[in-house]
Amino acid sequence: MLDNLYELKRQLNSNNVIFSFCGPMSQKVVEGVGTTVKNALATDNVSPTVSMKVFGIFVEQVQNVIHYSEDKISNENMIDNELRLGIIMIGQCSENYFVAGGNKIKNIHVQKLDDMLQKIISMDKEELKDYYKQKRREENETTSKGGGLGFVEMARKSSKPMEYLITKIDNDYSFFSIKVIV
Amino acid sequence: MQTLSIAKTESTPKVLFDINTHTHYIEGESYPENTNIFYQPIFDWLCEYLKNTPNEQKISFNIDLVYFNSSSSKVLMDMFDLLEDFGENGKCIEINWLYNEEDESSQEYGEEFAEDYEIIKFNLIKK
Repeated sequence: MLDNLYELKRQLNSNNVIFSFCGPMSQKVVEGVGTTVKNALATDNVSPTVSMKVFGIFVEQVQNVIHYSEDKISNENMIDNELRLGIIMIGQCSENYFVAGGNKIKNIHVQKLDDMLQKIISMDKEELKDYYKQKRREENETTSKGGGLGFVEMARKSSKPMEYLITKIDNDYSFFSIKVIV
Repeated sequence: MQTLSIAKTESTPKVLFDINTHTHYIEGESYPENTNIFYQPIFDWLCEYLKNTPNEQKISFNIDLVYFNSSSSKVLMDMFDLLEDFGENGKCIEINWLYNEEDESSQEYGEEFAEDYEIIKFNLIKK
């Protein structure tokens, strides 16, 4: 393990990853890491517009893991009873920044997610704005945790079409990955 | 009824709804883990306050949010909808949306809210 750590770090660096986290996500991760990322971008002379977009996409992706990941650990002594696991990274690609993340999902939810993302990706800026407003009005907090609106939000902050991949793990689960470029 | 005062945290804004000045503030960032748990008491307070405030009283809300996530955006819309409803029933309400000129999104979000409301006055103000 120890001899692989440096190799892992080198791999991340060669993909221009400036931050990565793999494991149980929590609101504290969103707050602590998010603030650190904002500060790091500020010292890198990134414009407030870009910095807030990177931060915003980071928040939506981590909160998606917290709400939707099927990879969970639970312990009755934990305050929130369970923690959801996933992966998140922020990196640079040429002139831009990217935020990529992923988590385990149930196969029964794959089709719906795939349809929703296809629809969002096919939209231009103006369509996204209208769809965002429509979804914001439709969404009911009692039946949804806001995942749909979160993807539209990410698409609006993205400078290129979002990319995603759904990889089958077994008969019950798949792994969902998404990359958003600011 | 008492003034509502909630201190700011890393992921929730400062909320100051003042029954004496009728000038209210929401300031900071909004991305709580559970939006409903944070905002429900604020909505409850707001309904009670609007019912008990005379129509001739001018009421203003200053919204200065550096960042809010998508579920907070939904909550803001619900709040503005509620204010619009009370506006239709005769309340004199204005919203001041404060934005940072250097962050294009904060202005855009304000403009998009502004175009959806007719009765309440929705002002966009550069910080």
